[in-house]
Amino acid sequence: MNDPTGSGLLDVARLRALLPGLGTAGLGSAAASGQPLRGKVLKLKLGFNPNSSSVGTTIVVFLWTLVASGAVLSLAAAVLAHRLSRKGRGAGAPS
Amino acid sequence: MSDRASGPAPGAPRWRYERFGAIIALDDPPILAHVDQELATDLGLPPSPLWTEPPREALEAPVEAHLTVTKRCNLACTHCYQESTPAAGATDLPLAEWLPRLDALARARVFHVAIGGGEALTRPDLLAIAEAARARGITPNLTTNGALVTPEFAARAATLFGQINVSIDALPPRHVFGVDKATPGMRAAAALVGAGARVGVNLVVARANFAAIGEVVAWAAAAGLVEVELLRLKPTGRARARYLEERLTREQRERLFPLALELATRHGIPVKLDCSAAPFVACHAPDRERMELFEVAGCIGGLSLLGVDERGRTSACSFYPGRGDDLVDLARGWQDSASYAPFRDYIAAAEEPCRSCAYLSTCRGGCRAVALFLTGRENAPDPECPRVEDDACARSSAAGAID
Repeated sequence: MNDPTGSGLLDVARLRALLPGLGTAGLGSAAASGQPLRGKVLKLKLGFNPNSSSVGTTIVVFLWTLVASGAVLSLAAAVLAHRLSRKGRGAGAPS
Repeated sequence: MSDRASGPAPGAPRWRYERFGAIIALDDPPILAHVDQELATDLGLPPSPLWTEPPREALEAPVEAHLTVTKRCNLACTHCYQESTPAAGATDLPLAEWLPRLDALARARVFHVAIGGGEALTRPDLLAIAEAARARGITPNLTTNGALVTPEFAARAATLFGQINVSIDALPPRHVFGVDKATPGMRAAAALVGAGARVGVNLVVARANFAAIGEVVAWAAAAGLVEVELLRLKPTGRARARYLEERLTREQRERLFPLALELATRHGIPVKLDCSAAPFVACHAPDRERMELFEVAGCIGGLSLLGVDERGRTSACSFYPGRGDDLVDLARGWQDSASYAPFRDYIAAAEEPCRSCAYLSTCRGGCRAVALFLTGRENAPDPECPRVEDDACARSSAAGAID
């Protein structure tokens, strides 16, 4: 299951260690992300920005390992797929 | 105008179309993802007519709006960019006039608002404003100095706001910017964490408190906070008066990024740098692809960020003057207002040394507010960028040699 190359197959435990704030992100199990996704995440912003005067960006991304970027983007794509299917694709959609 | 809940169910994914595909936002975990058209389709979103439009840098609407809901503050810090005082607030919009403006944000499918002031808790109807945002499918976040946080407020705020950042610029007994924000801020942070809120710290970094960053990060990690955001001092509002004496030194500017990484590693807590610090990151030549993927970005004013003052008037950024456009007219203003031109046109018109900088597209010339204050020009490169500073020195030396 360890595939940080972006194919959509994820080692959730490893990613949890990389991103403690993200956890399993509701995936529940690695099997939930087993279907490879087409297309890609272009940009990913983690966390909120409560500061009301400027925008903060999380520089800890520079501490992740070389393979982490692809893995994190894959996790994000899988999380989105999981959530959109679980909550219903119409949720929050443009009218 | 309505205050009825009309947004998506709490916790539901929210999304909107963009020319490149779509933006999808989750609150738990807090993710905001730009996805391409192929992934958007694979995720089940029907194709959009927008996908045939030519690409452009500015998004179709802001992702985030910064709302100054009051100019009033219980404190009067010397570096306040709003010039807030306990006596201010006469120009604040009442709740009833914020509602149609929140409707405008909801129609544009803005995902987040960051509520601040002044001190937002001086408004007795702050929670009503935040609830109105939630009801419209917008995640409210909050900045506070913490002095007015009560156990009752903490309990309600914990489930209402996505995250609350408390402003703490140094730990006691050290005072900076003329006030002790830390004592009430630390008490408030403890109350909010105890109530289950997601809490961070905003720390304005200046010459006098640079050496105090480490102790604030250590405290934040130990207190169960989720992040520390380091904000560069801006020459706006009262901060203009002493900006040249209080701004970071060249050595501190170059030290900020490696220091933030060291502290994040040592204490196990995410450390953020604000958008204005992008030149201080870029000068260390980090991985550009990683910067772009994770939006370690410079100025995004007028591209994905909107400032809104206490009268409901918009600007590209809270530190930069707007042109009087009202938020109720966001749909037109975002497309047409001249307010955003210095921000949106920066890359196309970039001067040297920005023009030839490998980080131009991510840094975008540093902070427009700093550049305007120090040069008087809207489109000047940020003079405090180490690269810009070196270039100016080289030009000055060359001119001197010619003379």
